[in-house]
Amino acid sequence: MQVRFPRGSMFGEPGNRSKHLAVLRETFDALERIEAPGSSVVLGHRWEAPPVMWRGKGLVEGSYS
Amino acid sequence: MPVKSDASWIPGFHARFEPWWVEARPLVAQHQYAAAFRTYPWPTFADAPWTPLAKPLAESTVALVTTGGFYRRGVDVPFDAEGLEGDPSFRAIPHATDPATLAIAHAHYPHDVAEADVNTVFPIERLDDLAREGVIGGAARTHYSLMGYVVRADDLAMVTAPTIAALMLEERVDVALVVPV
Repeated sequence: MQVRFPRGSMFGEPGNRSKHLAVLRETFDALERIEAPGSSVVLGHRWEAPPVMWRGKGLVEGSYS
Repeated sequence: MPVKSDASWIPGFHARFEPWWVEARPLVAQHQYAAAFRTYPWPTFADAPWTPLAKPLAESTVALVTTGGFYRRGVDVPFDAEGLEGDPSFRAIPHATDPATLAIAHAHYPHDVAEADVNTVFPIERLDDLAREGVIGGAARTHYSLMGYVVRADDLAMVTAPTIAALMLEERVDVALVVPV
């Protein structure tokens, strides 16, 4: 499962319970549907908060370092 | 209960790891991670074991494995967050742990989000929500935390992962959700 969130926030913004649950539900849905190793799913949720600062840079989605 | 690990790749990994580490270690010491890991000897595998879900999710017990470096403040020894080779050990975190008592020892990701809400990386409270909704059978009694910076992949594959898997089997865990950071 791949999410479009900054590194260190794999289920979405702090306190966004509905998004955390949506990511988990979609992950578990995939677990029930995927039938072969190597499969991947990119989730459509987007980061809805200011960038997360890390080593002087603002991380948004897909940022690693 | 013992858990088997495929060790066939280990000699080849060692042969490539040691010369890589000679070159990479000074870069890591200077926090030049992108340059250091550009040539990391990633192990590759021709196939992967596949374990289909054995029973409906609504009847399954789910354990979390986070690489967020969480430990119980005042109970567990913190991870070695500053070591150049990282720390391949793990901490067992009981599901009943108060999230407010967790701390983070991990120097390789921003902590602000996880410190504001542990469920962003380690969704232990959200598992309870899904259990109440009947989406999963329930949360496991124990979850597992690692510090996700580990340069020796063989330590993880041959020691850490099988140990955690064996503990999960003892607690009759059906599903492990690995959450990398």
